[in-house]
Amino acid sequence: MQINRRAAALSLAALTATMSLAACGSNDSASADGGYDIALIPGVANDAYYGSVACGVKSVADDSGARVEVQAPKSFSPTDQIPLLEAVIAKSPDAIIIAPTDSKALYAPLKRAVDRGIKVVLVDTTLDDPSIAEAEVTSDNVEAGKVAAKTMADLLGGRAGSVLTVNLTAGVTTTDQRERGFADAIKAVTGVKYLGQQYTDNSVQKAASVVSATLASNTDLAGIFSTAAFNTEGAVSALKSAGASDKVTIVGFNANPPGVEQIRNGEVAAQVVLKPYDEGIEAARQAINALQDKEVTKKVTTGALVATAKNLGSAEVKKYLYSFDCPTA
Amino acid sequence: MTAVDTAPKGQEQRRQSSRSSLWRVLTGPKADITMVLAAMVVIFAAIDARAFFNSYNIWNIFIGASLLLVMAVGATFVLITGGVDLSVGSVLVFSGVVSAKVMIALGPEGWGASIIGILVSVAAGAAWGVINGIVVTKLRVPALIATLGSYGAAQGLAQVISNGNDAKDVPPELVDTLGVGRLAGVPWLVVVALLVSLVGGLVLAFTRFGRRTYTIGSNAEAARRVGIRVDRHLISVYSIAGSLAGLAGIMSYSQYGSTTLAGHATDNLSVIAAVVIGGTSLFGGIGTVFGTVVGVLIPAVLANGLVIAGLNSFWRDTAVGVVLVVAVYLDQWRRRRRPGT
Repeated sequence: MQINRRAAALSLAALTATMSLAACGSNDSASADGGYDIALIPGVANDAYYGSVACGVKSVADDSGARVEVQAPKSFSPTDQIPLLEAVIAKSPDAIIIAPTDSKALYAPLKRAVDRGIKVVLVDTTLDDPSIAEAEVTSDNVEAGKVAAKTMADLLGGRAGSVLTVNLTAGVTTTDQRERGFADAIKAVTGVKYLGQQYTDNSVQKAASVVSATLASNTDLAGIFSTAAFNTEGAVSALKSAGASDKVTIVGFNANPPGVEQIRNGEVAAQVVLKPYDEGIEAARQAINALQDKEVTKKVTTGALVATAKNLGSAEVKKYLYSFDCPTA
Repeated sequence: MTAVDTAPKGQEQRRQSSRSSLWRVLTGPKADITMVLAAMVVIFAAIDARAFFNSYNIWNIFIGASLLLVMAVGATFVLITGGVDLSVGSVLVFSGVVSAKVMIALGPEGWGASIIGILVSVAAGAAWGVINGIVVTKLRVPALIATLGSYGAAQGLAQVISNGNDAKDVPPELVDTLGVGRLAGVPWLVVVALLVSLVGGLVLAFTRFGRRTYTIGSNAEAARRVGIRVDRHLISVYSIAGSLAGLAGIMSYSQYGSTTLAGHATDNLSVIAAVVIGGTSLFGGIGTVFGTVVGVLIPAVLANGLVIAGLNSFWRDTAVGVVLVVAVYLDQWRRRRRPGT
């Protein structure tokens, strides 16, 4: 008995210590009077893109006295996101704004949320069947892919060669659409041979190995279109280690702080910039409209712009670069 | 939560009643870690009883634990023999992919395709288990390396077979039952996980197979001398672990409606942590399935409870890390106090 008592006491002490540490770390506002509870579940933690989405959501929430709690899965995968979502549902917030990590797997749990009277708004990524959601706010990724192809064509300036797309994971609607838009537009460019896409599961390492392998098999590789941040990092490092940085042009797709740095030091020629801040604003607006029984716009799309070394300083581009630090406008 | 009430009672009865020996065989000295789980439940319930203590949320916690629990039962056997299996998460993904391919070729609908899919998934897992067992026993590669090898190989092959694209066509029959369905109010995923635990626990505690597993873990050489065919037994144990990972593969595919290629990379470590938290010794010879059930539930309760408490769920990893180290420390401390047990 004595052993067990001491054992339990020790484990408990350790556990309470950790938990009180956790409590210190959190900075949730305890005021529980009035206002809506909105839960935001981004696709993955530590991605400045979702940081900007959160900034947009918070700016609208602050204006209307709503509280926002952000819970981010540690990997971009339904296996991490669904348990998190289920726990959030158990708390019965008024609305959930979520970026589904799988167009199919998230349907059933989100349906349960709706059945329990929670308003669901999809942000950035969406579902195969978005009808259960109050609204879906997405970037026009097909169009953005076309913008990327146009940028690539301009940067190549008529030079002939192969072009490869490094994509995320099949089934992620946004990146699939970016590739589709890019593929449609790049095929029309004379002199460019489009090699198609390779999936990297959002792994820097895998993107690097895909690019190294392509460099070895296609000596005329002239351009790489990367649909997401980690892929760009992988492509950059593969080109560097192969000494091919000068002859291959990268058009990336993320204005994360490292992405902007890549433009500054010339590793990446251009980054397509989406407007996650606008996505967050729209998602929060639609969620609050739904809660107040006001008219909801079922489908909202936000645009894209291109950042290059030339326009990096302009206010318009600066506003949309992805960041955890919210703009104070 | 029956474990919570009965564990301390079981301790007191141990010396007197005849039921107590049964209890001890089933649970081992697991009361301390069970109390940690109970305390966690009490703390979270105190924070927000309405959100935490309702059937919806309780089943969520169990659903979140069910895949890991199925794999952890297999890992309990492996660890008791003094081995280790790092391949489980990859074998899960591999089995799911192979089974998905077969079911897609068959339609993918109807009970026929579903049952074949389940069998294929379990068989694919068992095949990896047999490979692990043979490499460990016949080729004499240490289990850590042998299963680290199949961890990489199974994940890689799954990517090759699927071309890196998650398969998403699950027979609706499978989704509506195993995936999201319930049996008398209990989610099928949980029913399967608890059945696996029950059978695993009984086999380990009451059968010759179970006794041999402990014997090999305590002293493989002695086991060999008393005539136990150690190699054959180890291959069986690894193939049980593989089959259960295969079963978890079809459970995962049904639950998520996707082969989730990227979603199980750290399952192996979560499984080992859970089994060790549950009191199974990394050095073999000691462990119970009951402890493993508690060990799997601790991270699951933390993951859910921290979100409900309004804290970032990342704290789970920290808390589980602390509990893991404390659990192993207690294991060592107990051994020092009572040498020979």
